[in-house]
This record gives sequence, C-alpha cells and structure tokens, in this order.
Amino acid sequence: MTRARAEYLSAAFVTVDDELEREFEARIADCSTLAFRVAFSVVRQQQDAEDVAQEAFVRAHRSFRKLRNRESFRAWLVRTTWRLALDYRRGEQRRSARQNAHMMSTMPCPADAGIERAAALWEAIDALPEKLRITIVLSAIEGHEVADVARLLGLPEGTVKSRLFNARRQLQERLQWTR
Amino acid sequence: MDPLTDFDRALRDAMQVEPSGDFAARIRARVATAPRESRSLIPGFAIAAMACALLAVVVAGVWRETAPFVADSALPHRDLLVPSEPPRVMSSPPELAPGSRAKFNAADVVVSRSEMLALQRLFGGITVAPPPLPVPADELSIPEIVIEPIAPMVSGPEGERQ
Repeated sequence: MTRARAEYLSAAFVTVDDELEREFEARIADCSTLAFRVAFSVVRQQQDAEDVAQEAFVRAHRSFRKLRNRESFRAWLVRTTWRLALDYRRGEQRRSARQNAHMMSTMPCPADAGIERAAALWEAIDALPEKLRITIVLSAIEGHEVADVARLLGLPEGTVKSRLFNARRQLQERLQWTR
Repeated sequence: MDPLTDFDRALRDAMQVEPSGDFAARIRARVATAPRESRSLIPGFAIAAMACALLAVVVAGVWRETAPFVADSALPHRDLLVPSEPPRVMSSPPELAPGSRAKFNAADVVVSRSEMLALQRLFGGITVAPPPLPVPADELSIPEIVIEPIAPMVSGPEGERQ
C-alpha cells in the first residue's frame, strides 16, 4: 500500500469517526432530558436518575453505529434507560428499606401543598403493571402523543391506546382525589 | 373539573423534573472516559460464518473417508471375459441327470451387482502382459565363468612378511 493511499484511508476513518461523534453530541443534546425523566420516573431521586441516564448514554455510544437514526436512537435509549432504572431500583430495594424511605422523602413536588397528592400518585403508578407503567409515564413526558409512545415502545398505536386506557382506569380506582 | 384532565395535569407536573445544569457535560465526560469496545475489521458474524464453513469442510472430508463405497453403474468399465463359470452359492447342489452338463443360471449368482462392478473395474484396469515368447535354444549362449584372483599370487612361504 502506498503512503498516499494509507494517508487517504486514515483520513477517511477519522472523518467517519468525527461525523459519528458530532451526531452523538446532537443526540445528547436532544435526548438527555428524556432519558433523565424516564430514569427519574423509576428511581425517584435526582442523582440516581442522572447516573442511570449516563450509563444508558455510555451503552448507546458503544452501539451508536447501529443507532444513527434519530427515532431508533430515542426508542433504544428509552427502553435501555427504563431497564437500567428498574435494575438499579431493584438493587436499591434489596440493599435497604431505609433508602426507599429517603427516596420518598426527597421526591420533588411541584408545590408543597401537593406533597401528599404527589406521593399518592407515585405510589399508584408504582402499583401498575410494568407494561402499563412505562406507557403512562412516557405519555406524560414531554407531551408525547400516542403515536410518539408507540414509536418509542415499538408497539402498534392501538396497543398503546388500550394500555393508556387501562392504566388510567386503574389509577383512577386508586386515586380518590381525581374524582 | 374532568378527573382525567386533572390526573393528566398532575402526572405531567410530576414528570416536569429537570436534570442538573451540567448533566450533558457529565454525560460527555462519562462517555469519553468509558472503555471503548474493540473495533475489529472483521465483524463477528463473518467470523462465525467462516468457522461454520470450515467445520462443514472438515466434516465432509471425514465423512468421505469413512463412508462405504457404493459402486455407480454409470461408471465406465470394460466387460470382463470370464473364462470359467462365475462363482455360485447354492443351498444344495443341483441334482443333474447323469451325462448332462450343468447349465449356467444367472439367478444362482449371489454376488451383488456393486461387487461385480467393482471387480469388473478392478480387473478391467489390469493389462495382462502377453506370455514371453520361447527363446530358441541355439540363440542361448552363456559365457564361460572365469574366476580370477583379486590380487596377483606372490611366491614365497606362507605367513612371511613380503
């Protein structure tokens, strides 16, 4: 291989890598809050949610060559963050019940008057089956429509509508203050 | 107030949490310090495919060496001229009328066709050398054998140094 050819190939690889890094930067700016909120909906603590979301981005970076499409990346990131958050929370629950009490006490609320309401809401969401829980959480994040949630979860829109209906009905049964 | 609307509003408010200000920067730092996976020039599936192909070649080779030979009737062969009757295996010798000759019956031959074809190929490939021609006795001449000593004879008493 001639020197000129080697230099050309080297420059081409560097260009491809640089392009990938630029795209990944754009994904971080686009999806970091989404990943954080998905993680927060499970772990309920700011620092833990950030750690989980960071780990999801590290994994996304490893597989980014296969995830260059924006929609594919968002869907993959949401599902990975959700799984990581569930794993994290299970580990935390195994470690100590005291940690859970701390998490509930540090849960942020829109207003002090709504502490009791927010706690009841999260408790009711936690009691939902996992399929219904991620659907209702994603629908509440960033104003996602049914089609957005369907794309993120890789499900038909009819399935998402059905799950949203069931989730709301179960939450209504638990939350007396919505009546 | 519509309870579902109230509920949805409460849920959205609960989800309106924001990460810390340097969250994106910390993601970049974490990604930069994370160990990168090794990038191989040959993808994993290509390595697996090559391994499968290699295994198939090895298995086929072993199978060919151990498989029994099956004669193929389509193979070219020469007809074998059998000077005598082919071997026969019979449960009991046929009773012949005195003075009558035994007739060759192909149904009595129990040698399988594949074996017969193999024998035909074996013998068909052998070129039988013609018998040597008889040499006339008058052309046969054998030179007389002359035995010569290796070293010239030296006169003198035996055992004496020369």
